[in-house]
Amino acid sequence: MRFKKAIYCLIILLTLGSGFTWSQPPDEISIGSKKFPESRLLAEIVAQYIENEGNIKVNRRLGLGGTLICFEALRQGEIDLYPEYTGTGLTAILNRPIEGKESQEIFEEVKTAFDQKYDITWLDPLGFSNKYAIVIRNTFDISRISELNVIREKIKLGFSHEFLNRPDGFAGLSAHYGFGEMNVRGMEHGLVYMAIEQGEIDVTDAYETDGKLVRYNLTMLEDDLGFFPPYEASLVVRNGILSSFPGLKNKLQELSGSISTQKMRELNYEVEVQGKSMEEVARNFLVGGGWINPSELRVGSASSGLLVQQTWRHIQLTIIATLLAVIAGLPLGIYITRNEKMAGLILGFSNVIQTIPSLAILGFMIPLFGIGFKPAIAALFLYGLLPIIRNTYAGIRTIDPRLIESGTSMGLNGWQLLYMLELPLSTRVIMAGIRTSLVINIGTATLAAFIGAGGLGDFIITGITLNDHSLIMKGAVPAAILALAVDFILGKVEKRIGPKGVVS
Amino acid sequence: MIQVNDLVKSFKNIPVVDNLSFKVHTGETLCLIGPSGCGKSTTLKMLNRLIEPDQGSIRIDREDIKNQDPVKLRRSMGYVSQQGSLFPHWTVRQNIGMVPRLEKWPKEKIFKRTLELLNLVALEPGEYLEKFPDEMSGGEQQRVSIARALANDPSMMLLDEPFSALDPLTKFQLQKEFLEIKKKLHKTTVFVTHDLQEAFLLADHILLMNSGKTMQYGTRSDLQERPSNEFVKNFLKAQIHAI
Repeated sequence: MRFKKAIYCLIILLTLGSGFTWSQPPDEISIGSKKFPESRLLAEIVAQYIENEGNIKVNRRLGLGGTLICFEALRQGEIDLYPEYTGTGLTAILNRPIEGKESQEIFEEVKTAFDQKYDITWLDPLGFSNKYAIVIRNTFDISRISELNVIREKIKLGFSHEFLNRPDGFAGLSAHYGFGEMNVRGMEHGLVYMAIEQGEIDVTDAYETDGKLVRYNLTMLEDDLGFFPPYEASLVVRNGILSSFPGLKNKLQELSGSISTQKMRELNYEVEVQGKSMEEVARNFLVGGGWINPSELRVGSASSGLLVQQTWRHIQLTIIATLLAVIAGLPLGIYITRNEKMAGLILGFSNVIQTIPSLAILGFMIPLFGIGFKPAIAALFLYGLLPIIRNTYAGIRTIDPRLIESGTSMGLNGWQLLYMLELPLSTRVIMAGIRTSLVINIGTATLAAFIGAGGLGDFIITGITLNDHSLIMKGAVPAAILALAVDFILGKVEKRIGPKGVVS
Repeated sequence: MIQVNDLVKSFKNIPVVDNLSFKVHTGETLCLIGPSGCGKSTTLKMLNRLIEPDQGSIRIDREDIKNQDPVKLRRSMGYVSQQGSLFPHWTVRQNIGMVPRLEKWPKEKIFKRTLELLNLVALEPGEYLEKFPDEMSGGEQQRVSIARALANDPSMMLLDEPFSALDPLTKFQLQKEFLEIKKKLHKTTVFVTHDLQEAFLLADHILLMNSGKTMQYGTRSDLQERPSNEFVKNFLKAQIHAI
């Protein structure tokens, strides 16, 4: 009977969970950004600009994992626009060569290709170019990139993962300049300055507009052999949204040419070094440039929202995913106790899923489900499956065979054996599996912020990109408390719903 | 009447039951006895189709059981096995009432039957109804097992070494009570044991097996006075020495 109650509770929770809406109302514009501060700041500027111009609502989907995630989201219509760089569009998305092309040439090429291939418009550039740059600790007395080769045995290089893996990143640079073997490693971009400060590395990649260059003692090396192509910032917009909002294109075009490289570096400095909020810096910029009138100021809600909201989002993500994992995993676990041949196959398969890095699983889900809540649920669901299948299987298999035999001999059929004997006696083991699954998912769900699903990971990722420890703690501490609390509560539940008369 | 004809069962090509034939007359108790691995338990499990024979037939009241629904067949045979076969998460009352519940008896009838059965196996209902199996001694558990097997008043009983894990005193007590029940109820019974004393005490007929074959079928005095071969002689001698 206790078991039945537990099942009813699960069903009720699930119905509540599925009431959550995934669809978007059509009267709003979704603005995305990559996870680094400049991209977020530009998106925030555009968001406030739109909010203050008319009656259009803005949905901020800031801090998405990377170029391909943003682009994929745009193509799927999950977001309507985001700031992109011409060079990135050409190389990373179109996969075309960039060597020797001029700024204007690149812009025309991406503009035409995106319009034809993807139904996406490149608006005129915002005014600054954010080329990659190579910076070195200023204790090394060099000023040109080609000189790196001379001192290559004395320096340690640390690059952001994206820079390491892009054709126009380190591989291309190294080939172009004919570098010999160097000591190179990849790291999160937000951490490279700390690594430089602590002497872990001496050289890294940066952007020309990087506000932090001022603060750390770094020299920006001259690209003397002209490898880095221009990266002009621009807004990429779905054509669909431009036709739904007729005035939008002209309004957005007004921002073109409004931000110089120097201005962008200053804005970045305010956010990254002075620690001002994105909202504040964006507002000051818009007011200062006369784009919006301070008296008519309407302030939208920030994407990273309140702690309570993100915690609730986090709980929704993990609970819904785990419930789905229970709904699929429990029957699968039972099925393989009846069909030993499949047991190896299904357990093996769910084991393999577990070994795939969680970020990769999240990435795989994007082509299938877009970005946001759904792909995160799908990935967490797959992640939560193994402990549930394995424990259901183990729980039932370890029941004394004499009990099964005596039950069968009393004339119980397979179904009766299952619900009268096997499930009640393995409740504790199954619950332990569900508990493991839920706790794993609370941790993994912090990564879901990379694909725009929100949750406590938003604070952590923003904190890492801004190198803001208190923001990281704001996400990490509640996530840890949540995991401990769930572990504790489910531990109690396990004891309560376990069958009486059985000493575990 | 149970009629077993030319029963054969092999596991991995090793015959465990080898051309076995016997009868159990209505209302009598047959003890299957023999050394470990002689095939007696396998034979019992073929009677309620836990194991399907390779060859041969089993008829109950002339009807071949392979044509019967196994669940119905099993409900017509009360089953008692070794200690530890009560459902550990259920009380005595729930355990005894299991089959009647499945057969949708009204609650009051199940309760009345449970009291009746507890009295039959000499357990005080007030004390035992709400006990869980692990709160009882081995002897008490086996009494409950017998009560559970009799719950829907089946026409036959299958017992698989029900008393073998009990201490000698408790065992003797239960054997005596089993005899009482047998006299009262006259169920057609197949009782597997490896204990000759037990077989002599409880059986109307004894089937002594070795390597899946019949060594001798007969009454206690048949075996004692007219052992049909050396194996029977030695088996009797060894068991009597052991006591």
